[in-house]
Amino acid sequence: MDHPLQLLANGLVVGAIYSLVAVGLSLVFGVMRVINIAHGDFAMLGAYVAFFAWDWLGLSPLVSLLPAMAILFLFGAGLQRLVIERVVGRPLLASLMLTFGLSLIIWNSSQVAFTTKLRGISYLTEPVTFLGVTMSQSYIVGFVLALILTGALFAFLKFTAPGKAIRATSQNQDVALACGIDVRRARTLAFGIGAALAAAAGTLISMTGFIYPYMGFEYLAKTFTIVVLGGLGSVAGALVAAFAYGLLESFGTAMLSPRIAPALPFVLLIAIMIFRPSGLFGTSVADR
Amino acid sequence: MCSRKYVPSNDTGLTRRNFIKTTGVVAIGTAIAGHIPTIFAQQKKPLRIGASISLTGKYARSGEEQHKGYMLWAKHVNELGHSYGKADLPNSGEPGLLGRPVELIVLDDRSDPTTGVRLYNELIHSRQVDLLLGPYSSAVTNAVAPIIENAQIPTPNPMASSTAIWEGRNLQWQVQVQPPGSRRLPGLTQVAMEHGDEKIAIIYEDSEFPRNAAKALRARAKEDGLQIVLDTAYPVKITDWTPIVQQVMNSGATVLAGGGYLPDAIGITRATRSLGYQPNILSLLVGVALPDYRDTLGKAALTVTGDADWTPNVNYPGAQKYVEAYRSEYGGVPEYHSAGGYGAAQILEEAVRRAGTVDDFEKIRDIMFELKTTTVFNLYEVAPLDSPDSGLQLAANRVMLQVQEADGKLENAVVYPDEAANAQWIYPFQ
Amino acid sequence: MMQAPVFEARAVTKSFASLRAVDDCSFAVEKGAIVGLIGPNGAGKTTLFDIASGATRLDSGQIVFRGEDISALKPHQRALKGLGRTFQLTRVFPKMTLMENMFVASPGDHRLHERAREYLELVNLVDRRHEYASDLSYGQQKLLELARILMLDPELILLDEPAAGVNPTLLKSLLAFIHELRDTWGKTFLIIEHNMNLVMGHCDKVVVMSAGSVIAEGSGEEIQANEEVLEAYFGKSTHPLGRAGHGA
Ligand SMILES: Nc1ncnc2c1ncn2[C@@H]1O[C@H](COP(=O)(O)OP(=O)(O)OP(=O)(O)O)[C@@H](O)[C@H]1O
Ligand SMILES: [Mg+2]
Repeated sequence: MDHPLQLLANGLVVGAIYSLVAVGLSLVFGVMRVINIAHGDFAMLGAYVAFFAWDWLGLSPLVSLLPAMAILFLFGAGLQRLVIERVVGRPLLASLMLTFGLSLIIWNSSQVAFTTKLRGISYLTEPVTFLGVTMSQSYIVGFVLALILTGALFAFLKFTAPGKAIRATSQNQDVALACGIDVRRARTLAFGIGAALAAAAGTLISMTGFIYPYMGFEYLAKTFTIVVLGGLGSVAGALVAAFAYGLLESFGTAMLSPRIAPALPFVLLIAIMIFRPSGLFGTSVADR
Repeated sequence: MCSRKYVPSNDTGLTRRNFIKTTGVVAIGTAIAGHIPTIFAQQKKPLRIGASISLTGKYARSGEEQHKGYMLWAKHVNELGHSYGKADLPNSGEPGLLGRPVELIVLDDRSDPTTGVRLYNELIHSRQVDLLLGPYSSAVTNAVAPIIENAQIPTPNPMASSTAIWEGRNLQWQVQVQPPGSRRLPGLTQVAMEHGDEKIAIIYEDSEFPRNAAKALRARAKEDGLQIVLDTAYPVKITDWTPIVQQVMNSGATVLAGGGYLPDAIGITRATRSLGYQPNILSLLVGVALPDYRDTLGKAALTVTGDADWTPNVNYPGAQKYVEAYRSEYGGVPEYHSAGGYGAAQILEEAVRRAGTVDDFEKIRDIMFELKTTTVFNLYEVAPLDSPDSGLQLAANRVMLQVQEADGKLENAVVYPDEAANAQWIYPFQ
Repeated sequence: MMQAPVFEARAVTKSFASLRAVDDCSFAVEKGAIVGLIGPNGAGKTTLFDIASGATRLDSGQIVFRGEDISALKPHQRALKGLGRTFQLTRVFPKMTLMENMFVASPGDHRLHERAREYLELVNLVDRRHEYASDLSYGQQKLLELARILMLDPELILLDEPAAGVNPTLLKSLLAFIHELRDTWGKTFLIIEHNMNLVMGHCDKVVVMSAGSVIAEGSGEEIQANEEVLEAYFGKSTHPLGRAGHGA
């Protein structure tokens, strides 16, 4: 195997970006037992906020990251309050249908608004070399930001009262209520946070890759696998599985074949389904 | 064999006088309904031309362009009685095709070949369209081919460059309009050899069109004595090309060629820049020709080469008028998919006009296979009906482009072949 | 000696489809009292708790807490007003430490750190405060649940079968704890319990439900003598207290 460090670095960068999308998806599932098909579309919308901030206002994606997150937080929270809240506690199929419909609406109207044109931000494209690993600055910045944001999420969940409220709601809604927690607010907050993190991922993708209205679904497909791998509802599991996914893609492509690599996460998934049916991180609750 | 579809003619002959007499009604009709077929509402049964195109999904961007080409063609035929560059054909001048207003029935196959098959069956059997145009992409075209052969409807395919669809299959009812994939990236191997490059890496998306393009590249590389140090397909769904380009780097190749569509071109270029890989030639399929490529990548796109079936500065008859019409209808500059769509429809138009009927499919088909002509898109001539590769495109050419900077703006310069070039090939890749 | 009621169920009715789980139920719980709520399986006791805590909406009637009709309030609002409850099947947050469990019930207020420790000390769990709740035994989880409820500083505590599945030693400390809370802090308790010894030995008043209705209310002795109660439990033949001493 040539350049294992480079492969490791590539896998980690990709994994970090996946993790931003995946932790939110898992968080939302944990708190409200809703599989949000529109989650990837939040990443897409965030990406377009960053893109237009760049294209019209000349704002660097590192600057527009926060506004993009804020906008998508409000969008997500509003959507949750108005629409998603109505299917909480209903059968999974109801929420699947609803979020699938929302996804269709979001990406179809995005296709009208933004056209199907592929776009991207050319920013910090110069490569740098460190320890024999060469990478665009944008990848490195994206990696670091993704880590910071996921770290911030974990700290938020662990140490703040609203964070604990979200975890409590995720672990047992009835008890959370009996403990005086406004679970509805916790759900809205969790949904908004999930959307904001996805928006952050979108912003980073606009810098390291390219964006288009349909991208949400492609990322959803990957992150859904990640979330199942990590254990539905487990935020820590989603994080670990996202990196596992990125590394499998990277090493699988180089060591086996690019054609086999995409199947590896599913092989892992099947293995986990056999040996640990509830995912890498056991119980289906948001943890630590 | 299967249902030979003769639609009974209800051609009552639209005279010029008739037409003028009804224009008053027409004006009102148009004002109310706001679209062209109304003009003919009381005259002639519309000529319904069906196609499925990828309007959503992976190929949406290109499919949409092709659709615009079809729509512009229908508009011109309905308004002018001919498309640009085809004014001198028999039976032209009268609005519509042989006097019948063209109505496009376009369905969305969501970039999925299986859906395409279902939709063409639907168009032929339940919607009973009069004529057909091809779908977008080699993959969908290939899947749909047996359906069209069975239904025996003459169909020009604008956006199928894969030769495998035609080679050795003796197709009787469909022709290729796009330059075949085997003529992709013209000049690549010659220029590489001239500069003393020895090692080439070919990476390509694992789907119909890129596979065929890679096959042709492989053959040409071998022919020209280049050593293929890496030759690998990657799956359709990938979003990060870094690991693959990493492999190319490790292989020691000084020429990297391949890709697939626009996303691949952007992704491979991003990965190449990110890894600091410096080949002498970076040449990618499809994407480089599109303005999105330069818009997305900015200066990272510089000196990347790619090819095109068509560029907006070509001088085929009617092409410049077409570019103008596109600009005023949709804004912006047309891409080759739209010119291809327009051009394919022009082949159908010419065959129908020369046949003087829309109902005698055999006659239209025979003309379509014998025709030697030029559209706004390219030259046209296909392998004859009795040959094993019947319908395969023989005349259409491609040009090699390179992203270059001129007056601070990024442009696609034509760098190969020499007769067509408006700039020098910048070597090596920077 | 008669205290103002801190809690009242007024003509509370709740049906699940055709089943009247709670049928025109009325009774009161006086401040500072330990009241037992008994009745055969399926009598509607837990449903009544759910209605009181807001987990289930009532069809008609009122829940009055400290003189205020709280029937329209959401569960967490009732909790914050001082109406705490535990669950028949104990529920802790398994993936949180004991301390985190405690803090869930006091959102935002970290000055309560000392109090959380204090309560955990009262239930003998303070040494394990940084362990995950899933590591506790079932009985210990019950104690944690009770301690956690205290973080809300509730005036009224609803306990659903606190003795079930708890070993005798632990049960003793649990009961001592309940008395201490009542005696020194003036807390009021409404306790669903099948263990008749416990009910008769510790409750100031007993409310008996059967088939959704309150069929009797009074001191332990009065209830033991009540014909209707006997019938509700066993038909005419035996007395429920015949089982006393072998309680659940
Ligand atoms: N959500 C529900 N849907 C339908 N029926 C219910 C529901 N909850 C309770 N019931 C029914 O209502 C009746 C009363 O149940 P409840 O749990 O209140 O009884 P209980 O007195 O607490 O019994 P136990 O002593 O066994 O705990 C039972 O017949 C039960 O099956
Ligand atoms: Mg009960």
